Amino acid sequence: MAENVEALVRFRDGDTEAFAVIMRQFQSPIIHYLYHLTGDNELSRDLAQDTFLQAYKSLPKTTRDLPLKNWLYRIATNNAIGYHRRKAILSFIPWEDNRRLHIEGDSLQQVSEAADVRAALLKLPAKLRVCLVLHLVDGFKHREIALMLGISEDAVRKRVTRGSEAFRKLYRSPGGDAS
Amino acid sequence: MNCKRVRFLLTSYISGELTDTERSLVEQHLTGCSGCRTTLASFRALSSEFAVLPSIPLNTEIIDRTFSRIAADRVNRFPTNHWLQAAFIAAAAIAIVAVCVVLFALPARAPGDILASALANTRNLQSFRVSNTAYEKDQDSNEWIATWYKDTEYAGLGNFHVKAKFLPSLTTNTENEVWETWETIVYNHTGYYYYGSTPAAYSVEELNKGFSDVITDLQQPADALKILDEIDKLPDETIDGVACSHYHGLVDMEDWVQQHMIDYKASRPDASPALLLMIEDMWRRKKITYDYWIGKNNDIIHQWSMVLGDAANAVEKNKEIFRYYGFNEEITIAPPVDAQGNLLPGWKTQPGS
Repeated sequence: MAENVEALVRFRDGDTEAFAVIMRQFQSPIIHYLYHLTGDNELSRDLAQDTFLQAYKSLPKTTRDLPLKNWLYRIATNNAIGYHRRKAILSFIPWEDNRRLHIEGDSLQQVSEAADVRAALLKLPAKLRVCLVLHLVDGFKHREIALMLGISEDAVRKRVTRGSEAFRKLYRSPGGDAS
Repeated sequence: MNCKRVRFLLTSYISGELTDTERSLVEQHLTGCSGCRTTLASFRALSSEFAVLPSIPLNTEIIDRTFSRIAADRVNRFPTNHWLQAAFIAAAAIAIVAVCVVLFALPARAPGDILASALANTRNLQSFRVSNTAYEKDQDSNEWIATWYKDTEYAGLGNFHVKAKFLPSLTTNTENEVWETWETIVYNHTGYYYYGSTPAAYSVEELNKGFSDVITDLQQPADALKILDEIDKLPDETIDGVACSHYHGLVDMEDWVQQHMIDYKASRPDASPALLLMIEDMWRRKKITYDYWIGKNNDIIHQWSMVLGDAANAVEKNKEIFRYYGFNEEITIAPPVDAQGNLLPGWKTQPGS
């Protein structure tokens, strides 16, 4: 994290290469976040590029106390939602190609579980999916998500709760002890 | 704390985001409720289930491609002439400074917080006036306009002094209800005084609630914030000559229907399951929006409105507008009695039950 702060300072001072440090730090979480939202490997990489390009352009306009990570997630969310809107596929993602999964060293059962979890997640409406992934996968607090998305904390809590309930209807772990 | 509230708080409970009091109330409920304990276990399991989500391999291609696009963008955007470049950079710098001053001088606040704060500011004023106008369309889409009350005065923070002027309405001349102009004063919650046609059908409790919902506590627009799904900021507008920020929110109908079905069932315990289904279906097809106009300089609600329509064809059916003005002006509201304590001519009184 200290590396980020230093990179941010250097970038603001005109060191363009410092942006590479920021991208190296955040490319994995941002791409995975977009992947969980879209279910598409290539698309998540394209949207990540868009996200970093917009961040590059907008960073000079931000203040020094910018919460960089939350801000990048907000841009990524807007890009993903914007893409869904453009494609008019708000609720369901049509592609479901498990051959694109890259899982190395995992057992067959884990691969199957991962595919089922992902399939259930992708069936959730986009706004529920966004809040659920931000909270449960990326660990953001409700308050942080509210600020990120520009909605009330109660609205976030409602979406996480509703997303959790909807996900539970779509997926039960093989152990079955969750319910 | 009931099950619905507890389940709403469970995800915050798991992530440690509740206050000590909330956490204690949730735990107290969980001790005696197996249903909520099951839901808690189900929610807790989600994190580990999501942990199996696949990861995708990374390399430097994203960074390389992004930098290529940054470079391409620079070539396309910047003028080649050095003087033009300097002018361009200077202009950009000024624009960036302006944007920073406007956008980042103040901490970012969610629209819901801004609205809640403005409602609280208005509620805490010493006095104000309020007028209401309602628009309603009949089946032939003819628009009726009614002003229910005009220049109603509120004064006396915490004491609930209201002087309302109700006007004849175009839309309420039904067989059961014929309204004429009447005036009422509710003083200290304890009873009310009225002038004109008798509003005896109303108890003082009903009047208290009606006024506090809309006028003194702005309860209805504040409650609406809890069920608004999205709040958008629209272009500024001027209300009564005051520049106002305009916010527009769409009600989450799922929540609205759930709450209203509980109220409806309570008010109609004899309703058949078929009727309940029909009512629920009808409500689900509705769309409700709220708009708020907040003074840019005083952070006070100048107007709010509610629009009810059909979700499918976006037709507006009912619209109610509540306009607030005369803030903190000298308004005195007193019982309509003379020096000896006798009612002034024409006035009647209705004590509280």
